[in-house]
Amino acid sequence: MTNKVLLAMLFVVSAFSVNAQKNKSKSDEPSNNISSFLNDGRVKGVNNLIRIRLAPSFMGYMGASYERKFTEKFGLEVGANVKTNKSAIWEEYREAHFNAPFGTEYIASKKGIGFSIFPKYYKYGKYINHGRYIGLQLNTRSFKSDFNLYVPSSIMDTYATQSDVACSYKSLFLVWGNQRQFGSRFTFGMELGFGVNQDNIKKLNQYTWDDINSKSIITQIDVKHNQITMQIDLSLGILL
Amino acid sequence: MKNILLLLCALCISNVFSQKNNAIKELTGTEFRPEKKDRPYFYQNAIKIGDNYYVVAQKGDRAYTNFFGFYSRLKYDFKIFKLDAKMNVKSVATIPAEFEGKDVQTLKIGRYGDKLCALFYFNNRKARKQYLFAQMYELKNFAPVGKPYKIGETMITKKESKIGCIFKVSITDDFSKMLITADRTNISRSRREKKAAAEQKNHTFSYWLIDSDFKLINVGKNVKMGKGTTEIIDQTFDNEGNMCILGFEQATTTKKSRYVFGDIDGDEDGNNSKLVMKIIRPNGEATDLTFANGEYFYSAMMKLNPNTGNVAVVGLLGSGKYGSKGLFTQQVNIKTAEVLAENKSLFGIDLVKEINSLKPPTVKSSKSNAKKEKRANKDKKESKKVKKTEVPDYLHMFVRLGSCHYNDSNELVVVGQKYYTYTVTYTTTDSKGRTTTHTVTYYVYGDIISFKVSPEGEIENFGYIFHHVETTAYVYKDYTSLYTGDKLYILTKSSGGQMFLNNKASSLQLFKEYNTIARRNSYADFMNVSENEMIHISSRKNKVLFSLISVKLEK
Repeated sequence: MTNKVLLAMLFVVSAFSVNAQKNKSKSDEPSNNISSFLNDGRVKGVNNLIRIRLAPSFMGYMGASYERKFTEKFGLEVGANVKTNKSAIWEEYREAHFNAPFGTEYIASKKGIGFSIFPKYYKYGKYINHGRYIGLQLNTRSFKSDFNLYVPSSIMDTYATQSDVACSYKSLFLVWGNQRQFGSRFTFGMELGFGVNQDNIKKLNQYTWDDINSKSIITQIDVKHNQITMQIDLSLGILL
Repeated sequence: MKNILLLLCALCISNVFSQKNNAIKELTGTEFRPEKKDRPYFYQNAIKIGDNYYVVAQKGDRAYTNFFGFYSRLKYDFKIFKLDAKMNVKSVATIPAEFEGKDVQTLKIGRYGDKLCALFYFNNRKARKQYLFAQMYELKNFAPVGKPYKIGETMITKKESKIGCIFKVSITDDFSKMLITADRTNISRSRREKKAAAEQKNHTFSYWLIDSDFKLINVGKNVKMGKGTTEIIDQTFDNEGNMCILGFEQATTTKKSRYVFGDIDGDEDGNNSKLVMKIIRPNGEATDLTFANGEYFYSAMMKLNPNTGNVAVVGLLGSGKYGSKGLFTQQVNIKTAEVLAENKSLFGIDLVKEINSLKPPTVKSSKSNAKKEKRANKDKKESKKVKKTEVPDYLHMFVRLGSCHYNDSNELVVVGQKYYTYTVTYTTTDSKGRTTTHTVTYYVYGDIISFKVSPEGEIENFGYIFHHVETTAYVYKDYTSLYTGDKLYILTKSSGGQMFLNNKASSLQLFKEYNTIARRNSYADFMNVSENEMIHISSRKNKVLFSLISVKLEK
């Protein structure tokens, strides 16, 4: 009899303990393997980024830049761009306002190469994934352009074409920027910059009319043009 | 002989004065100028360990929408000010809200075991879960001890990837156990979700009870409590791990008679809302209790008496006219789940009349005090206007329950405050004739009222303090109360004093520090450290001043 009572009691006690423990599962136990809990599919805590910018592509340049954050506050972006095709977008617009010789018409720019260097000071954002920054963006581009040149004549004025004229463009902008991570390892950024740029054309032919000899004379000149400008740029990046 | 008598008189008078002045002791440290990176935005908690005090604050990126239209989330790091017994800052430490390169959100820091425990939460959008993490820190150098632990997890929806913390965490008085609850009722949801929740037969929540070595003692997932929409309003537990969770079950009979906790316009007719309580023992056994059927509350809270194991539930009964009509009290033993007393004590017309007829005690008035008195008198006149139409049986604007204290005789001292808001729309016209309007909400923290309640739940007597503070920033209450040696002390950001429970109005005295360092537009805050100590923080521009306001303990 007593054995039966003892057995019944044991059964009850075990049932209670089962009841008490049945809710506990391994996932409820505190765990210090936090990496699995932090894995939300988004790359975090990286300091390397490859970026494609929209502004150079307007001028027909294709390329990318690489940025590395050396400290929490300081990052450096270097970029290279190449232009293989003819294009005439911003340069045409800009060079039309040149103080170039009378009648000079810009046709198109051809092969070119560009470089940029962009040191940044990050105001917010510990890693490159997101942040706000301010920096100085220095861009240089050198390319070949074709020009139509005005040729004065005693009978009828004509135009002559000069091909592969060496041109260059330099700009320095003070840039405010902000970038944000989206998706697993992509970033989207927006920048606003104010600064100066300089356009150079080297050895551009200039035709002038010589009244004494009644013929046009060719001279070669260098043209420089400076202006204050602003830039709005968008960028897409991939975190490495 | 006359001289001796005079001396005795002088001694008596000085004693009386010293008693009055020494009841609240102020200790102010030297002004501290934190570095820019250490200047906090929010002060959160104050902890006393040994002779040192630790003031926990938060600092980080502000939430903003910038020029580019990007919205930045709130992300704060913890800042800890270590103070010595003289309230001088010894060091400032930063605890970053980051694990393994991932940003996490700060929740709070408290004492756990003999160390500091920082709590963080993280919304995992992939797993659609919110995780709660705990990391221990050394007191000497705030160095992390071991790795962080995941101590709780709860479901979030795809839309809730930026949701705030769902977890509620409490620590026992002996700092040996931690109770974590997760209740999704309090989070804002879509209409469809609310409807689905209301149609649910049972409301559920989850809890985890862990010890200071992060070992799981007890866990409950999707524990049933209440029906339909039930809101968990308070939780408490004793050193042994007996838990008590209080909820308010909302009535859902008809669309019109739907009562929400803290509802100010509802009335009693057809109300079937109630308070629900769940007592869970360390072995997992649970007892469900329901009480206050048909009542609704402006606010309610629980208080555990660690000596007896009794838990008091106190609620301010709603009148339907923006004023409390009485107190609901109930006592339950947390170990046995035995209901010891349950009572609904209405104020009644006589008591309300007596309280409304109180006049502020005469004090040496400064300009600000005179203004306050004028304001109080104005309020009084307004309340008299109400009287003309009808004799109220409720305390107008008395809707906030602030704290509840137990004394040795198992009596309760309940402290509450009058509270209301009003909005003002300002219209300005510039020189070109363009008008702009903006609306400002003012939060008015009014008179503080306290009641002494017998173990059976009857109101024995009351205390009253005339008080009026208006702010544009919301806080739940703008005062704190300390109850020690059977005496109740009320401390605000600028003043403090004993609140006598003698059915008369008491007055508060301005802090010495407030008088000596007159600071216009300075930021002031306070945090309770222990039963009889409060840390007062006063800061202006780049400087912070910490003061310890303590109530002298009687032997």
